[in-house]
Amino acid sequence: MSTRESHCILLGGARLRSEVVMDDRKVVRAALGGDEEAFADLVRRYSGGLHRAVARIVLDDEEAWDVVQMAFIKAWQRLDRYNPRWSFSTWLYRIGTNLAIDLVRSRSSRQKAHRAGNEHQLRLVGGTEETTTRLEHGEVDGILRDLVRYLTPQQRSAFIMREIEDFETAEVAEILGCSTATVRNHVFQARKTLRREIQNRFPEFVPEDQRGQK
Amino acid sequence: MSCEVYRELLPAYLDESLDEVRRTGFRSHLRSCVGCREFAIGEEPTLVFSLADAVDPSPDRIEACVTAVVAGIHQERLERRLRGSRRPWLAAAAAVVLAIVAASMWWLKSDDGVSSPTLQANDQGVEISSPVATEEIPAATEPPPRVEVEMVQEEVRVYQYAIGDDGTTGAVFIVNPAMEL
Ligand SMILES: [Zn+2]
Repeated sequence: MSTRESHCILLGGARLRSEVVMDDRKVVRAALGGDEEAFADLVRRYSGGLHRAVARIVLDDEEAWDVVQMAFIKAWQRLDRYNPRWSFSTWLYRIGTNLAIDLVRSRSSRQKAHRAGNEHQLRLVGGTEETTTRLEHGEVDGILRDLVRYLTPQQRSAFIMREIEDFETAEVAEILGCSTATVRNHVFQARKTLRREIQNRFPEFVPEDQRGQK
Repeated sequence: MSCEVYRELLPAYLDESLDEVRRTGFRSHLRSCVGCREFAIGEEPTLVFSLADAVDPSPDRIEACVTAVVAGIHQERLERRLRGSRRPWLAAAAAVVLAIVAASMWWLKSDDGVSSPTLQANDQGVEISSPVATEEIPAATEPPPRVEVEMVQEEVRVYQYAIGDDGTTGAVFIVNPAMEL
């Protein structure tokens, strides 16, 4: 299920995304007036999805919660600077992703990335029952967790937002504060690196005639 | 759309030239159709990640996050109010006055054989220390107390002064900003 679909389901079934965005803007207006309960509703609505994305970037479940909490507090502090041209979730993901990228950078400068990876505890399900024939759900997430560490923080974020969380290119560009061309480039580079690592380390996912190719 | 059509979309998907609507259709088909997914993974191994999806956190974990965020907002608001006062010299002066008051009271009370004032923190985050016994100040005749605040790292110190019948009374509250305000 994509982030977007889960938001709609959370808000009562067949609601259109535009309705969710409208509702968010109403809630943001209330929060701007100091309504903490309205803001708490936004936390309830988006913390799960943001945590999932951030955990895939920082590779640590608990640190991801710290990032999510910090992102919401920053969002509250800067609520008057929120541009309603973008959905609240895009704006929130921008704050959260920047914090996550900062964390990965500061951590890699301390040479601790390998340790954090071992502590990652994301639980996992796939889609529907019939999608489970060949691949175990946990297996796919385990591979992703093993391999994203080969990506730069920007590539990681772009690939996860685009390929896992289903954000549109323009939204990912807004989240990362770069152009859509740069987003595409990050996704291409990420895919190239991930493909190479899958071929090296998980050749069972590569058809026999393609194994060994780079 | 048939599986055949979806498979023809694969190159456009990979070079990011699909429009967002067709892209969403392609991805949801990949999630639900084993045949197309295995075909796609054969062409591009990284499409294995189209299966990656995590459970939403438990409602308890979400509520814990809500609580932490609300506490953070309270702390932020308190810090902003304190910064807004822009009179750090007043807090410093108040601290000096308080120290003099506390010292003189301590000195006087020591002479009377009364125990010295205590300053203790407790786990609830609120601490009140009164250098003098409260019964010495009749509440009805008390002038409005003067209150000063200062931030000391993560701690907020609130100084309250009141002029009692018998002289000056000072009290210090140390407030944990994470507390409900
Ligand atoms: Zn199909």
